[in-house]
Amino acid sequence: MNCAAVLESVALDRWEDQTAVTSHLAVCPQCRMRVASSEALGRHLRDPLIWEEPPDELADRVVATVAGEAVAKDRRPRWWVFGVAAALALVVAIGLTMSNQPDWTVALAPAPQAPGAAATVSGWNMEHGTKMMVEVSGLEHSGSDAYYEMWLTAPDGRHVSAGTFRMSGRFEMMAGVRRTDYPRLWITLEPADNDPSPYPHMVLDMAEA
Amino acid sequence: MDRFRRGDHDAVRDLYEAYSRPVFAIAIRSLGDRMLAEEVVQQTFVNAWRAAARFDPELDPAPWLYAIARRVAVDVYRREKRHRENRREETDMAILPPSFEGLWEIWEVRSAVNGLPPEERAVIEATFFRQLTHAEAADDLGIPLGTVKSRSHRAFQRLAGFLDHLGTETA
Repeated sequence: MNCAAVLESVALDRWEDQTAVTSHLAVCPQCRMRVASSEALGRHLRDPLIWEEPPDELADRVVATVAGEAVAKDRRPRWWVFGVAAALALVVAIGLTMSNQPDWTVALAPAPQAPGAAATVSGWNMEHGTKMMVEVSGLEHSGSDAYYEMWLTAPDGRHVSAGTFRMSGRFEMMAGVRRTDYPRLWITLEPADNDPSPYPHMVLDMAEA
Repeated sequence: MDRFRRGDHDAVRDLYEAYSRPVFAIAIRSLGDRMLAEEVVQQTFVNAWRAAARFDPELDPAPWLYAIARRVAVDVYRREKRHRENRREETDMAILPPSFEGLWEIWEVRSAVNGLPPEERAVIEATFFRQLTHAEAADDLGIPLGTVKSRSHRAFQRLAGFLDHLGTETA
């Protein structure tokens, strides 16, 4: 066996070639020095967590979120352009406040399964999708084997996920679709089962949906 | 990095493609939960974009992204721990569990695996993760035994070349 094959056998932790491996190591100080790193590499490569893959749809969500933040930043006024007079500062501040106003706001009503829940969704229509600020109250922590997920649904039943959360709070979410095409907003309690479709356990929905 | 800073779709996707797997690997190792790991991946890239103006584009982004990802994972761990224990104070929050140890090694291994040609990665996945023999891997992948052996040797030598310091240091 040559050095590469010996170190690969060590990493694989298989002992079919034990005699050949041991004989080689006895006479090869370079390989002896690399046994520990080969064993460590083998342990990592046998670890199932190394091979875990993020879900495919996460890429779209990340790209949409980052691109959305960039667009929002570009929309903000450039402070150095203004500011020559104190009086103008007030105008700029008002302008800034106005530019950060959401394009729309909707309230979500509780479903019978979550009678104490409430949510308000404020949205900004972006070039590449929809940015949302979701304020949720009255929902219990989902527990470690479930999570809450917000969905946007089109009139023909297609839906996309805007993001997930585990307890009441204030969350920024991003969907790579326009609200005009996906008008319905609703929130479900999802089991952590890798199923990408909405689970029928709805907790909040638009009143008119 | 300039294009990433401007939120250019292709640049964000390129960075995501290059680093999402190591970010996901250390997140799932440290937190033990796929949903929380997904949250870490998303927040890592958002935080990276927010900090991109301060990053020197001449440098390797891997250690920078690793530091951001680990910090996000720590924040998520502490948030979940606070919630589980139903408390508001930060006492004992500086102590992290063993799952946060050795994360840089995991990042390096996942990055190195990610950098293998797909056909070599498939052989390494079959022989190490699924623990198939070379003959079983040849049957499973539908390629000759000799091809499996040559790809396996080549891939292992690449990985060992990148990672010959493993087992000699801790992250």
